[in-house]
This record gives sequence, C-alpha cells and structure tokens, in this order.
Amino acid sequence: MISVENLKKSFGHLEVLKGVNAVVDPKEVVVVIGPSGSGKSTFLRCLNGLETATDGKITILGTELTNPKVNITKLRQKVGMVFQRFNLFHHYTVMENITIGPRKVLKMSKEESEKIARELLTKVGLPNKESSYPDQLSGGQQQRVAIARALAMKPEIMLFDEPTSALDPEMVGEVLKTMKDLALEGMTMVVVTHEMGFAREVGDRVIFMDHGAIVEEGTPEQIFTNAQEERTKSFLSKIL
Amino acid sequence: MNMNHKSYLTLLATGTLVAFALTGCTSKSANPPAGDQSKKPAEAGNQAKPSDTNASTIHVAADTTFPPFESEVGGKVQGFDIDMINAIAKHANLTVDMKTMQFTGLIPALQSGQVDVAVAGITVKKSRMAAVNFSDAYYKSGLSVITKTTSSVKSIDDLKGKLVGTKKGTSSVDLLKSKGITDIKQFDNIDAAYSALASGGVEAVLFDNPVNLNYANTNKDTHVVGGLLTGEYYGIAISKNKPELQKKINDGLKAFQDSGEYKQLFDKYFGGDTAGMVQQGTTPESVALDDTKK
Amino acid sequence: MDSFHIIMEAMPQLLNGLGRTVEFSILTIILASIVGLIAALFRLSRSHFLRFISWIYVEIFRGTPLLVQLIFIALGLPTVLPLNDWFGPTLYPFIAAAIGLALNEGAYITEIIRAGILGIDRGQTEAAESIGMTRFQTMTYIVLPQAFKRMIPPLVNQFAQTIKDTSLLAPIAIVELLYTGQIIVAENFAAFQIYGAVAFLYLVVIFILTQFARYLERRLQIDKR
Repeated sequence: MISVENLKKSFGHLEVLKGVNAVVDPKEVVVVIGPSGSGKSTFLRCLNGLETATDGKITILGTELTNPKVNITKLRQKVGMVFQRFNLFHHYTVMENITIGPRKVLKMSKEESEKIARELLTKVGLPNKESSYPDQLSGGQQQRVAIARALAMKPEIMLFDEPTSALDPEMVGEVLKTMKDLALEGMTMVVVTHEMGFAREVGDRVIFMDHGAIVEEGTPEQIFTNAQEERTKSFLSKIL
Repeated sequence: MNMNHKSYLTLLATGTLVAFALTGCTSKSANPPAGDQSKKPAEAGNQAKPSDTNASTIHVAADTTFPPFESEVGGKVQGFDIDMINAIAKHANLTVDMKTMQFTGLIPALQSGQVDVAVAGITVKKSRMAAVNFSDAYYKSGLSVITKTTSSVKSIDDLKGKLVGTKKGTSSVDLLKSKGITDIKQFDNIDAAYSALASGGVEAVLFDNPVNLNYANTNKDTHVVGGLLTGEYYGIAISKNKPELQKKINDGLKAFQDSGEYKQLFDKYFGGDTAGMVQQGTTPESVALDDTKK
Repeated sequence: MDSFHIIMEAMPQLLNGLGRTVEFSILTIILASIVGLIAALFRLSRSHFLRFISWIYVEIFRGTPLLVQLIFIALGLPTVLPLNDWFGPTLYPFIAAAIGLALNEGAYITEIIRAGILGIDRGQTEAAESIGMTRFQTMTYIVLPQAFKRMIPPLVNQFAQTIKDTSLLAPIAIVELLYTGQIIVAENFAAFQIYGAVAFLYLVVIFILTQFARYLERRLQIDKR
C-alpha cells in the first residue's frame, strides 16, 4: 500500500532523513516512535507530499509520489492527514470544515456531503457541534473534527502527525478512542506519536526512528518487551 | 476607543465651524474695501509677518510658468516681469525677496500677508481689485487663441463644442464662459495646456497673447488665430496690508519707464515689438476688466 | 459677505466636485484592489518570471511620486502615442487618471495583500492541500477569506489614502473636489473658507469610510468567532 525506498530529505545542509526504507500493508496500523528531531514527522509529511523528498522513491497505492509528473493533488485525496495543531479552518463552521473537501474537490452535492458529515460527527462523538466554529471547541473536540474532515474524503490511508501532543491530558483519551475505532474498522494508518499505550494496544507494527533513520521495527510486543538495539532500549526506558 | 474617536471628531468639526463663524465676523479684513484697511496701517503691519524684519525689503511672488514674462531657467527666475520689478525696486530703494508659487495661490498669499507684491502678468480685474491693490498698468495684453496649423479653428467662434485648454483661474476662463464655451480644461500651469494641445488633448488653447506667441514661435506646427480678443492690462498686484507700497511702486514704475529701461525690456523680450507698451500713469481703475456682473 | 454665506454659495459646486472625487475614489479602489490582488498572487507564485514582473511593478510605482506618474500618463504619454485619437480627448484624461491612480494604489495594496497572505498560518494551507485542494482552491477558499479579515485595517488606511490622493488629479485638469475649490477661489479669493470647506468635505468622506470599516470588522469578528 505504501512503499518507501531509500528516502532522503535535506533542509539546506541539514539531512533530516538519511535513507529510510519502509512498507505499509493494507489495513495495517504502523506506529512511528522516536525522540524529537529523529525525523519521524518529516517522514510522515513526505508520505503525502507536504515535504518533497530529496532522493529516494515513495509509492502510494501504486502511484509513484516522487515522480515529478504525478498529480499529487489527486493522490492526496486518497491519503488523509491529521496534524498536531489540528489546523481546522478558523473561518468555517465544523460542518463547513468537513464538507468543503468533498464539495470543492470531489464536487459532491451540499446535501450529500452534509449527510456524510453528520454521520462522521456522530462517529467521532460530536453530533451537536456542526454549527460551532473551531475556536469554540476544546482541543480534543477540534482534533476529532479534524479526523472527521480527513475521513470525509473517504481516504484509503490515514496519516497522524502527533495527534495528541498539543492536547491537555484529559482530552487525549477521546482522540485515541476515535483513532482506535478507526483502526478496528480496518483503516490503513501511519501514526507518529508518543502515546506508547496506543502503540502497544492498537499498533500492528512499531517503527523506532532516530537520527533520520529507522533503528528497529517489529510488533509492539517485540519492541516494548524485547528490543534488540541499545538506542531503542534507552529511549523506551526514558519514556515508559 | 470608539468613544474617543467620536468625541475627537466632534471636537474637530466644532472647531472648524467655530473658526468659520469667527472669520464670518472679521471677514472684512480678508476682503477689505480699499479705503478701510488704509486707516489702520499699524494693525495691517502686524499681520504682514515677513515684512517686519526689514522695512525696505519687499517679498515678491511670481508664477514662473508664464514666459516671456516669467520663467525659470536653470533654477533662475527670469523674464520681463522679473527685470521690471528689480528695476522698480532699485528706483524705489527697496530690496527684492523673490519666491515662486502657483498662480491661484498669488492673491491668497497677498491677502494673508505672506507676500507683499505679486508679478505674474496679472490682468487688472475689478474682482481682483476688491482683494488686492494694483499698480499702474505696465503692459497691454489681450487673449488669443492658439491651435494647430492643421486645425479648422480660425477664431474663438469656432471653439464651441470643442475642448479648450487654459490656465486655472485666469481671465481666459471668464472669456470662454462668456462665449458659452463650457468644455474648458483648466490646468495648473499653461505648459500642461500646451502639452495637451500638442498631443491632441485639447483642440485649442486660449491664453494671454504674448505667451501664445512665444509658444507658437518655438512650435512651428501651431499658430495664433483670430487676433487679439480682449484688451486687458497687466498690473503689479500689491497686498492691501501694505497700502504705502502702492505709491512707492508706482513712483518706481514711472522712473523705470522714464529711464528707457522699459523700452529696453521690449527689445529684450519681444524683439522690439512695442504693441504692449502702456502710457505712463495708466491707473488700474481706468483699465480694469469688469468681471463683477455675472 | 460672511464666511458662512461664502461657503454656502460655493457648496453646490463643491458637492459636485465631491461627487467626482467619490466616483474616482470608488473606481480606483475597485481597480487597485484587482490589480493588487493579481500582483500579490504573482509575487507569491512559483514562477520566477511572474514574481519578477510583480516586483518591478511594485518598485516602480512605490518608488516614484504619484503626481509624476499622473502627469506622465496624462500629459507625457500622449505626446508619443496617439492616445487622444484612440480614446478621444474627452475620455483619455479620465482613463489616464483612473489607470494612474489604480496602478499606484495597487502597488501599495499588493504589499498589503501579500503580507496578509503570508500572515496566515502555514498549517491552514497544509490542511487544505492534505484534503486534495489545488493551490488555487486553497487560496480562494482557505487563505484569502482569512487573510482578508486581517487586511481590513491596512486596506482601509490605503483606501483613505486613495481618497486623499485623488486631489492630485487637480493639476491634470480632472474636475474633482480640489480642482473645484481652486476654481472657486480664483473667482472669490476666499481661500480660507473654500479650502477649509474642501478639507472638511474630504474629512467627512474618510470618516464615513473608516466608520464603515469599523462596523465591517466588528461584524466579521462576531460572525466568525
């Protein structure tokens, strides 16, 4: 579903990704962990073209993203993204935030897009917030709306970039629950997070990154109880 | 915030209105009848700020876009009027402090006492005499029409319905209006009107004949048509705040005319054409254009 | 005649001039906003060429005095191009005035819009692109509507400046408020009263504009927050 070969990314002289290789299978939930500055967010952002790879090859749903001729806009419709800072559109209501993609990009009718939006809002537990503005919602509510916004495009893959890092602790749970439900439905997900409980419970596979490269990967069981690499062990001992 | 803004504006508006109302009571000093102001020279002297530094210095304003009477060449003001006022000042024992400004600013500047005297080929008109004093006339001029040699316009009567350019607020405007010509483009200076003529922006320019002739001389694709339209006389405008200056300047003008310098200036600026020469002692009252009736 | 009557007698003529001033201001504001938006988008585009065009445009029109631009377009250009023949001598000065003002004010508006767009959090663009919006859609539906709200105060400043700048049309013989005032003063020499009234009329128009902007800003604040 996603295949990454020798992905490199530099910002000026700073090499953030130093040749990453990874594969994500359909319906798989891959959790990427690692210290800050390890390149895990950059890796995720490369997967939907928010960052342009310096070198290497990314293939998503059979299309080579790193080919400059590829219509990246088209491909992004199939890859949903949830950001650390939610990035809801401040000037639109919750309903408009969710429907603008389907209506403007998929040319869906207002009625149909609103019907889908209501279903999604019910699913993320916010059925009464459709006419609120993002700034009237709590962080957890905003992040759930952001998830609904991404789902409204009916993506085949969902990318999560530290979705709970900007939240107050009491709101983390509601967002993680929404993500867990999504995983149970069989969504293919790549999640960058510090929530080890989520990684352990929901993740099919955990990737540990450090210094722009993948250090170790395996099932949650293997990584959390039987890490092979020193760096993995040292990171986990600090965080757990 | 809002409140502050509102009260600020109210204050400003009130201030403006009060200022208007106050001047309403004292507007005689802004537009005084000739005799009134002369009774209180002391007060007038106080108002005339620049002159109280040196009694023998006169502050002269000229509008330098009026060749050959005044123009500015290489940053130096020159022309018939400039030579004349310097000569008059010499005869009258006065020092000249020259400044330039737009034509429409001349009379307000005289009224406010910003300057004492203005030379700018100013036509003696009754309306202007209510606002400023004039010296005796020093040049007999008239208005004429200048147009392209290719134009069908042969006289002012052909100008109806055509765009005519001239200088803002001059006696040319009065004449055009009296002839029922309404498409008048009034420019800040006559050069702009000539530019418009050259580029087809106006069909013709109506303006003081000597200036028109001067332009036609250097631009061979234009010519003056229809001859002199009006007899008008140029005088030196003098602030009513300085009534004593009128006599000094008239005396100086007489001496200047007697000395032969007057004739020399016609040689220098008009190639000896003395059609504009005026009899000594031609009072402004005797030659003023009556523009007061509407 | 006292000042009040001098002003009242001149008022119909002054109001007529004010009408022209308001017409020119509105026309200029519309044209300049279009020009400014296009130039700002050029400035932010990926094309070196478009960025260069926009940069040159802004530098030229901000780097030279408006009065010089107006005189050049209205009186200078027609001496080398038969513009008065193409448009007619009645129409061309108005075209020249409108173009001159619009290009000049547009250069300032370009910078305002550019700053407004750059002031929008990158996350908004990324979120829009992540749901498959094109750059154009992102600009139209996400960035500009939000940028517009921030741009209101500087834009209103610029619009007020535009209204004041229309007074620079007087030297090129466009009938507007100041020109009308000058012509009245040339007849009655009541410079204090007439120019005072002229200034006051400008003040009234600009005050109405700023109050409207204030109202608009409050409305947007209430609706979208």
